[in-house]
Amino acid sequence: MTEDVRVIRAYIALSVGIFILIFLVALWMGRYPLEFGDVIDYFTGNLPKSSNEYKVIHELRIPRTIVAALVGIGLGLSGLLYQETFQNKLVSPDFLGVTSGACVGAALAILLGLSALMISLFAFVMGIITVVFTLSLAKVFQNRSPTILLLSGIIIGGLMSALLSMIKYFADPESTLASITFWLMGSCEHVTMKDVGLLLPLIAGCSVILLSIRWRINLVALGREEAQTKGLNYVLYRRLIIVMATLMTTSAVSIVGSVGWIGLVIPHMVRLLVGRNTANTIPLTILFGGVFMIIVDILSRSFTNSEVPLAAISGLFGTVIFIAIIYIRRRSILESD
Amino acid sequence: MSKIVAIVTTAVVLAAAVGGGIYFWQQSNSTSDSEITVTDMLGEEVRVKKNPEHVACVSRTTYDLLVAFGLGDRIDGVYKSLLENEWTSVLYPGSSNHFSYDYEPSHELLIQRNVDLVLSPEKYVTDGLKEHGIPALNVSLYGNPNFEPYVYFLADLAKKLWPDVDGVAEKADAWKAEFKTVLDEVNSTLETKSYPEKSVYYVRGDKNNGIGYTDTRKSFNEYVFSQLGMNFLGSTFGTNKPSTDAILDANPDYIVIGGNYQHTLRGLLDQSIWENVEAVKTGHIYRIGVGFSPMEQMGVFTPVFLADMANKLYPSDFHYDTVTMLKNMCQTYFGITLTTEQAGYMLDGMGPDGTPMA
Repeated sequence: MTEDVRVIRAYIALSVGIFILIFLVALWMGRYPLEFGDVIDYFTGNLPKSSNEYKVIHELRIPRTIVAALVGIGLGLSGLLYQETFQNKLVSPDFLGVTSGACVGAALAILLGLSALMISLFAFVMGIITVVFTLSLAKVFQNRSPTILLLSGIIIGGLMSALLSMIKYFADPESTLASITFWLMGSCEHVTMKDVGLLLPLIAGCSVILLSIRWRINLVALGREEAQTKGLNYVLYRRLIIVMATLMTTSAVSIVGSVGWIGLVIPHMVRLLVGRNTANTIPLTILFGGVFMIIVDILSRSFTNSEVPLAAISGLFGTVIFIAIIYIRRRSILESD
Repeated sequence: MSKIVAIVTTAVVLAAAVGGGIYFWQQSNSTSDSEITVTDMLGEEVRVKKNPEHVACVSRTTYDLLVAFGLGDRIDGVYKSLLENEWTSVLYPGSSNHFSYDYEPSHELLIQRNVDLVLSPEKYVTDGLKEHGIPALNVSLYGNPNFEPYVYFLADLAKKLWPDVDGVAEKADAWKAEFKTVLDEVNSTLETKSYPEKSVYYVRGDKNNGIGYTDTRKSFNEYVFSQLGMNFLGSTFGTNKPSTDAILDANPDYIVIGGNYQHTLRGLLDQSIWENVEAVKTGHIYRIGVGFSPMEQMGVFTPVFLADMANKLYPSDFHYDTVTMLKNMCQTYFGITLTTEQAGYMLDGMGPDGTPMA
C-alpha cells in the first residue's frame, strides 16, 4: 500500500468519524435543551417514547438531520461532477438552471396554494424540465462545446429568474409572497420522515452508482478526445453524469429550497486535500458535503428562537471557506494562468 | 444691440416663469381651514383634509371601526382580504361599493380614485405615499413602546378627522366606553385575586403558516393578554416565527388560535409532537372569534374579544354573555340583527354558514 493510499484512507476514516460525531451532535443541539445522555438513551431504547425529549429527537431532529446530510451529499456531488465533466472549476450544481427551475416550480405551487408535497413535486418536475430546456437549447446551437452548454444554462437560468419575478409579482404580499421568499432561502424546518423517504432513495441510489463508476469519471474529466482514445463511451458517461447530478440537485432543492455554495466549496475543499482523482474525491465529497450541511442546519436552528434561512448560513460559511481555498491555492492558480 | 435685447427678454421671461411657478406651488401647498394637522401612530404630524370623503382603509384595523362610527360612505376602498371575508358583507352590505385595494396600492390608482386619505399599515408604505403627495397616516397593530397608548387611537383620530359629521364623536365615545368598561372589570377582578402568572401562546391564523406563527412585542395582543394577567409568550421569543423547539421549550399553559385558518391549525395541535405541552394536556386550547377581521386584530369587536378571553382563561371569575354582547354591538354599530346561532358561529371563528372559512 503506497503512502498516498494510506493518507487517503486515513482521511476517509477520519471523515466517517466526524460525520457520525456531527450527526449525534445535531440530535443533541437545538433550541429545546437536551442532555447528550438523552441521545444515547434514544438509541439504546431507554428514552420513554412519551417524553418530550424522545419526540424532539424522533420527530424533529432525526428527519431534518438526515435530510440535511442528504442535501449536502447531493449538492456536493453534483458540483464535483459538473466541475469535472465540464472541466470548469467554477460551475456549481445550478449551472444548467436546475435550481432556478425548481424555484419556479415551488413558487408556482405556493401561489396555487398547494400542499407541501405538491410544492416539492412541482419543484422537482420544473427542475428536470429546465435542464431539458437547457440541453435542447444547446443542441439548437449545433456546437458540442461545454461552453455552449454553460451559456445555454445561463440563458435558461435567466429566463427562469424572470418567471420567478412574475410569480412573485402576482403573489399576495401579505401571505404567499412571504412564503415564496422563505422557501427560496432554504429551510429544514418542515422536513418529516416522508421527505427522508423521498430523498434517500434518489441520493443514495445516485451516490452508489457514482461510487461504482468513479474511476471512469476520471476519464470523462480528461475531455472527449482523450476519453475516447482510452476506449470510454464518452457521450454515454457524460449523459449519465448529467442525469445523476440533475436528479440529486433538483431533489435536494425541491425538499429544502435553494441552498448555495455547497456545490462550489465542498469539491474545492476535497481537491485541496486529495487532488483531482475522482476515485478519492467522490467518497470524500459525500462525507464533507454531509458534514457541512448538518453543521449549517445546526446553526440555523440552535441559537435563535426562529430558524435562520439555510442559504444565509451556507452563504456566510461558503464565502469564508472559498476565500481561504483561493488564498491557499493562489500559487497554483497563478501557474495555471 | 439685438443680442442684449434677446438676453434681457429671455431673462425676464425666465424670471416670470420661475416666480409664477413658486407662487402657484405656494398656493397649492398653502394651509387652509379645510385642513387639519393630525399625528399618526409613528408620531409623525400630517396635514390632511378635514372631513375626508374618499378614504382608503389599507390598514385592516381601521375598516370596521370607521364603518361602526357611521363613516362607511366616506370609505373609497379597503384592503382586499377584508372584502373577501364572508362576515363583511353580512355585517355591512354597503361593503360591495368599496374598492378592493392591494397591500401596497398603486399611487396612480389612489390619485385616479381621488383618494384624500390613506390609512396605511406600514411605515414604508406610508412614507412612499407621502413622498408622492398622497396624505397617509400610519395606523398599525403595533405601538411604541407598547400598544397601551394606542388603544383608543383610531376612535380619537376619527373624532379629529370628521368633526363635522354627525354622530361620529358619539359613536366613537360609546365604543371607547364599552371597551373601557370590560377592561376595568377585568382589571379590578384580577386585582383581587392572586393567581400565579400563566403563559399563553397565540397562534396567528390569518395565514396558514403553521403553529409557529405568532405576534410579537408591542402588539395589540401583547397588551390584551397582559391585561388578562398572562405572560404573552410572543413577547419573549423575539420573533413572530418561533421554531417548534422554542414553543416546546416555552411550554405554554394556554394556546389561543385566531384567524380564518384556526380550524386547520387546531388540527395540527393533535400531532404527537405537541402532546406534552401543558395547554394540550389540560385542553386549554381556545379559539378566537372572527368579525370583519380576526377579533384579536383590534376592531369594533375588541370588547367582546377581551370578554371572551376572560371567560375562557378564568372560567370561575368571568361569566360575560358574549353572544348578547355581540348581538347588541352588531345592532348598535351596523344596524344588523344577528341571530344567536350566527353570533355563536362568529365567536367560534366560523363563517356565517357555520363552516370554517378556510
